[in-house]
Amino acid sequence: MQIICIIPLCELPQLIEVVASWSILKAEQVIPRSKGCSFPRYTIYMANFSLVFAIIIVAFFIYFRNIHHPLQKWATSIAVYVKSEVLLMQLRKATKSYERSLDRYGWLFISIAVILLAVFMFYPIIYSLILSTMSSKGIVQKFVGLGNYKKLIKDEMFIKALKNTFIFLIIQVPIMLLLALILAAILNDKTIKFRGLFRTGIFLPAVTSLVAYTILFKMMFSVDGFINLSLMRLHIIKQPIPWLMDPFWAKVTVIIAMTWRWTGYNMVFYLSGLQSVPDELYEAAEIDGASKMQQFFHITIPMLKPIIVFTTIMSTIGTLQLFDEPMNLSQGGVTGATTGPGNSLLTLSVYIYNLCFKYMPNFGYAATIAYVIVFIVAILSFIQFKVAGDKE
Amino acid sequence: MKKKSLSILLILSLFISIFAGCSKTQQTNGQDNKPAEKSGKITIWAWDPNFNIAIMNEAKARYTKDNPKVEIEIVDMAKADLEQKLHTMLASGVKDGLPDIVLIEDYNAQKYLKSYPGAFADLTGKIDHSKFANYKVGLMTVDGKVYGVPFDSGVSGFFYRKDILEQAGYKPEDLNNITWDKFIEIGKDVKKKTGKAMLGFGLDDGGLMRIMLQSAGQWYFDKNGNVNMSNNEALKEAVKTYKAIVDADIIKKTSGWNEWVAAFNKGESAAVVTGVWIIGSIKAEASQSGKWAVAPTPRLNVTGSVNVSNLGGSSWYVLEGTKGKDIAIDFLNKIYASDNDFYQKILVERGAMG
Repeated sequence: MQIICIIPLCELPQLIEVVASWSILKAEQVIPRSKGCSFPRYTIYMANFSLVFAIIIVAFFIYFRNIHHPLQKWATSIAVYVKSEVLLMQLRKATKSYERSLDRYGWLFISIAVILLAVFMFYPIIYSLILSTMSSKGIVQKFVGLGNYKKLIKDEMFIKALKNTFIFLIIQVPIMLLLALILAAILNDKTIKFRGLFRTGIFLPAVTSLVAYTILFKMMFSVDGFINLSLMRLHIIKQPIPWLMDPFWAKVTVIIAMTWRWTGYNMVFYLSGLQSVPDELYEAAEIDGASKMQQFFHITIPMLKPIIVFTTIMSTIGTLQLFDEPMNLSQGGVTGATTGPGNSLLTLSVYIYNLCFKYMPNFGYAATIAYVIVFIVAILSFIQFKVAGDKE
Repeated sequence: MKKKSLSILLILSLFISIFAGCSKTQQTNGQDNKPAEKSGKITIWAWDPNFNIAIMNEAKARYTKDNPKVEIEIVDMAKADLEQKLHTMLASGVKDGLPDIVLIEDYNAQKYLKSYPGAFADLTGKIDHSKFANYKVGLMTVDGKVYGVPFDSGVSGFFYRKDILEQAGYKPEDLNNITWDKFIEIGKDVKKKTGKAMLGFGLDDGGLMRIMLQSAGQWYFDKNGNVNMSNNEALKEAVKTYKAIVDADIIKKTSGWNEWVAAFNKGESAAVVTGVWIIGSIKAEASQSGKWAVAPTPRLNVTGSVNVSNLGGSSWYVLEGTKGKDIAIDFLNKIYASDNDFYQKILVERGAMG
């Protein structure tokens, strides 16, 4: 019984997204169509219905989770307000011109998305900003103003986590993106046999579960694991490499794992980008005597620039939020005091987790670090846009 | 057509979620109606099926024999999962999914008690705490109120393979009350003569460090909770010993609990120095039955260090405001705070020291 209760709860955000996007879709459809002609009645009913339902559901879940929260009151009063507004509008519709009501309906349809965004995005964002000015021990909170931010600068663990995260970012992202680009360029060649098979094979890691593949990597990279055994049998190394026991090799392991997992994912973006590059360009280049290398650097890369910028930003954000791999690769010590040998796998996200669940739970300080990550992402994205030099 | 099916799907999913909500209310209502007197249901969260869960099952059997109307559900989950779940639920203020009794490791007890005041039931006067070891009670006391029922302690020992050490030329008497320096020497002999490692050793595992520190009566913090590192002789010596152990090449490097246990289960290492709770895992390897013995924990080469220490150990806590709170307290009182026969049994079978 409990499972049934939990499933819709987990899927609530997606559900609401579906409701919201569906009603926006409706709104877009309705507005142009109804100009001048009669307003389809069922559309109002359906939109009306879905809106009220979405809000009722929000209220429902808040109620049954027993959180006595201002949100619950909010949701109910919004539902009542919207309902009365809709009724009023239907009354007006009989008397006034459509033009005005169309405008109002447009806003009404969009309001679903706005309300849901407000409840599930803006509220947490603002609340965590407030939280970042508090120092907390579990539910005991104390206002410290900018104290958390001051503490950050002197916090050696935070600086270590920041360094580790940036090492992953600077080394792993370029390797992965370059590899993905090369693979995409190769697999775009129409003369290659079993192209689909290779594409699928390289993309396949991207659909595996993060935890599952990390645990598999942990087994493969243990001292007497598959990788060490194979390398020793092939006489490439004499001593087993202490993959997960040495600060340097632990980072290498994470980089290998992440590259395996995400290269195919990025390759797919490049491949789809390459579809819009006209073959004539390559033909013309070939006639002019350009080598394959020159074609790659002077046609493929410039043509794919917007996609390269996009994947760079996505990978940057992904790396800054790196959590599953370091967490699982280092997990399982009897009294695992550090994340990886010498805290070499401590990333910002793992540090946030530790602050919330491993140490004395300080949600305020954790929120501060979350804000710092947002700040870093914003700066890096800005720089990447500038460097890419997109004139638009 | 496509649109229609989409909206049908949508409505359907909305209804499902509503029904799910309804069924939940009925469930809670049902629990409300039941009388609270010695009948009802309590839920217990714990970890380690070889140890805590097995012992709780024994306790459950004993209690339900006298109170057949009480239903006890024991939920087994990984320790890290349990701690995280407890944190999120306590922080959100949701009481619905919480258990009535929860197992908390001693190192973490103060963290929970101080972070979530009011979340745990005050057991002062309800349980006779004078029967338990003083240090255990101290760990669960905040502002003079005692919040838990002490369970196992983590008395440490030097568990070793008799056959391997004999091969290296050591008799059981040679292993009594030794220092870590002597331990390393023995390890070198074991390595030379048998080729086996002395210890399985997780490089990111701070367990041995805790044993060493505590054998000298020291800790990372002093009595007032201030950091105690710069003039901590025991800590300095412990770090040196750590380095000596690694440099002497007498360890089998492991990463994580499973590899660590496998090191002695597979016979790759000759000894393990840790808390008494490891007995369950040693016994799990039947082929080594009868080959194990235990000696006192090695001591540090500093004044005040003794051949006795501790690692881990945990206690039971009752959550405040749950429906089964009174039964839970009664259960812990009858079994864990009164039944000596019970403690005898779990000591022999599981190596639990209460």
